[in-house]
Amino acid sequence: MNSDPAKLAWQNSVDIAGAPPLEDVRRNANKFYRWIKWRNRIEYVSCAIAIVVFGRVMIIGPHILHHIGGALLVAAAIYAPWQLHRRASAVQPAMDGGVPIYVFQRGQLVRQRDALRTILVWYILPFFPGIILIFAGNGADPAIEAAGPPIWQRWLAIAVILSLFAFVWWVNQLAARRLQRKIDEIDALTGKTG
Amino acid sequence: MSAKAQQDARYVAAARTHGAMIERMARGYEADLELRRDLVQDIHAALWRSFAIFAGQCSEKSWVHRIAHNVGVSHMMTGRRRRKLPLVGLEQIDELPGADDPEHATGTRALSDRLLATIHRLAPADRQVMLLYLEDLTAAEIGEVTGLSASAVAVRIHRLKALLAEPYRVEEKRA
Repeated sequence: MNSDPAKLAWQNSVDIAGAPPLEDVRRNANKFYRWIKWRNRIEYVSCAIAIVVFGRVMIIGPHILHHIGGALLVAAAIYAPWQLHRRASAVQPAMDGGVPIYVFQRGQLVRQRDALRTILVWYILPFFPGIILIFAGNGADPAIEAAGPPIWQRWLAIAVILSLFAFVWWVNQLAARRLQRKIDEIDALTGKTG
Repeated sequence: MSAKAQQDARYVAAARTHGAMIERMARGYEADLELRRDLVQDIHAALWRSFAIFAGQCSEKSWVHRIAHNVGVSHMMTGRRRRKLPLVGLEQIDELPGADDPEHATGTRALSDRLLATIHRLAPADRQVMLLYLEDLTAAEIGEVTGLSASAVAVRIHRLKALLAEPYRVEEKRA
């Protein structure tokens, strides 16, 4: 029997004991996965919208470079979410009960950090070939060029797209650095040196 | 017995044994009654699911504590509601918060309330150690559940003991 008054007071602070009805527990366990399914659905719908938009460019683009560029963008719109799912999807902590929480969290943080650090390779660059080819297609045919917006608007569009990608990369590098700080904190707690 | 029936049976036995601990632990991670109810449900759901993969990786007691704390810490870190006060480490707390009735500051009820108020101020690692310590786990068991190094656990337990002895020192002085 424990004689520590603090431990006694704590352990006597709750009388409830026992198991809740098994049916309720099973139902809650299934509910737990619903949000993951919902998030995945959003990812797939975004992917489908991008495929439709770029697919349209691929089919009805006026120049062969538009067709190829559209196809590459469709491929990128499939590749990027697949990589996102592969590299940065959430893993439920409860299913990893064999691992202490800090070990589990460190693994998850390292996974997310690495995904953010390499975002240029797996999320940003895959869209570049398609975008370049579509802009090249606009300039390749004098008729298309004449029908299109003035040159300064095209350069502005390129600058906006590049700035957007640069901003996405920069934000993700900041997030990766924040995650690294959390990893360092966990390493200090768990006594890891490397 | 089928695997599913075995999972059910293991879960029910563990929930009966550790049900009160789960409730106490949830109190330590969530002050809001409604959110705490959700947290307890999440822990039981996680526990039930975990028994599909439990194969004696550690003692059942450590397993249940790990599952419960993994869900608790995740719940805490997802920050479902705004905290009024910043979380601090044990080293930043000099004494347990004051009791409503100073004459009975060490009474069981008052003491558990003061412990709870302290727990709610703590950052995850210190909170976890304090909850496990109050559940009477040994330093080795705390290390096994949390993954903290032996020295990190020892330092925290040392601080905890000093903190928990404080109300009695005050009473002695008063006497």
